[in-house]
Amino acid sequence: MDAILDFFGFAFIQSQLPRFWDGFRLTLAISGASMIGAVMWGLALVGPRMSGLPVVVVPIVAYIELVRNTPLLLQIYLFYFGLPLLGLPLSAFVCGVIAIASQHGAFLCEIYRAGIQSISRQQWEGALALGMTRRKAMRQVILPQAVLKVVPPIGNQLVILIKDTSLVSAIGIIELTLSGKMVIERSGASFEVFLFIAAAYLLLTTTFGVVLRIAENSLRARQ
Amino acid sequence: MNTSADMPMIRVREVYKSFGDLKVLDGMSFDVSRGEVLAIIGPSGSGKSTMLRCLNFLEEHDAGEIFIEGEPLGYRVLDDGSRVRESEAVIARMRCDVGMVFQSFNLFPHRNVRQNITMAPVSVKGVDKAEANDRAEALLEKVGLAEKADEYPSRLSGGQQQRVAIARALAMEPKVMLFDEVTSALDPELVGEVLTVMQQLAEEGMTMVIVTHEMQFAHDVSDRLMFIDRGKVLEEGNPAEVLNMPKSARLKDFLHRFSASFS
Ligand SMILES: Nc1ncnc2c1ncn2[C@@H]1O[C@H](COP(=O)(O)OP(=O)(O)OP(=O)(O)O)[C@@H](O)[C@H]1O
Ligand SMILES: [Mg+2]
Repeated sequence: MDAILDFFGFAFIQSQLPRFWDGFRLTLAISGASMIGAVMWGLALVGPRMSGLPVVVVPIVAYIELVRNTPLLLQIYLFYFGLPLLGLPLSAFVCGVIAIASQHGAFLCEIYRAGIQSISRQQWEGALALGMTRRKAMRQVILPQAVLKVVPPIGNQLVILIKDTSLVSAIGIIELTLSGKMVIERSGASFEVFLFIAAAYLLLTTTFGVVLRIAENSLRARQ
Repeated sequence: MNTSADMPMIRVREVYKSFGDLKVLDGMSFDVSRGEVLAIIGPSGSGKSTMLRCLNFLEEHDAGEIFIEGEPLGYRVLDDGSRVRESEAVIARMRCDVGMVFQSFNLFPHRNVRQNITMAPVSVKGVDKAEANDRAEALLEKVGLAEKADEYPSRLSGGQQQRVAIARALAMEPKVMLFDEVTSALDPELVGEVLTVMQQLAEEGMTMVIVTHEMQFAHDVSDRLMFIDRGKVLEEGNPAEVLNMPKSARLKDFLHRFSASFS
């Protein structure tokens, strides 16, 4: 038994826990801030995206396609090295959060849009025929139905977001992944450390998945 | 004087509507007076649904005018003949007076029966919630579903759903009710319960426009029957006369399929 534990570097990992803990907390903070940012950004985009006004729709579609189809790492660099050139020297943390929220917000916007469009024309007509304006119909009839449909894909997207926070290690934020890498550089115990880090991410994403499932069920129960 | 009492409830004048190259309404004109029940029959694709949907502006006519109690619907025609689209608020307000029941029910699946009925009165007309609830109970009683107020639509039969849809439309206290083949999606044994509710409404003096393939029902309930074909009114008049003594070959042809006499 001791031999097995030793093989996985149990004692060694234990000695490094404070470092990992700092990294883990930073990953939590970045994930939380980016999630809130991404969810809000997606909401802000989806209205104009569906407005049908070309002057608004065309730039938004261009932006969404751009951020969805280029690497997030590149976008993180762009914010980190680009913003100071525009006279906005923001901290690495803020740049990382903005870049992640920007890309995942674009994905979420498309998820919201698909959800809204999945509600049939008949539902719109039922509401409009009762004298509702489009705004009222959207708020009371379309959105409540769309929300339920998009909770699972939103969950998937946010799990990807959590994993993507590891990319901000590239701009020197010592979050979970980078804290692991630094331990490895000092000790050379790469296998054990990466296994441990992977387990920490798994814990984070599965916990999040469970929370989301509970939220979904309570939402369903309330309707 | 032009009081609303002298006006027909609905006036349709030279209405045209195309979908792309397909001309669906080809100069439709007719009136529906207060308390009248008008039945519209015609072959599939003749434009019945489109005409009905124009009456609450779910479909927007290309030309011509529609008036609800003398008020132009959807567009105002200016002196120079050009027309201006009404604001969304004005259109929504006019829709409050024109209830519509759809073939596919269109109930809101995320709300129970009571909430389906009270949603629009509360949010559109600002009716007090308790009052809206009382009224919903009364309407459910009327359509024979008093015990279903707390059910969700998916747990009801088609006939029950359609009766809820009728109650929901009535909750807005409309001046006119439009029915678009409201029994076509129902199993045969459920058709009767919906027709009974409609008949009762007609007897209470509701102004109704009914698109239907139920010839016997159209004969029994309507005050006037209109046969439309290729977007035009081909024949109209007393239901018994139109059904039993068709003049045009098109109507004879159409009625042949139903091969029954109407009495
Ligand atoms: N939104 C639309 N876009 C394109 N074509 C349409 C649209 N709505 C209806 N049409 C076409 O217009 C024609 C008339 O349709 P409409 O639904 O008014 O016929 P109908 O008399 O109600 O027929 P049915 O008895 O089958 O219900 C049909 O050929 C239909 O395919
Ligand atoms: Mg039709």
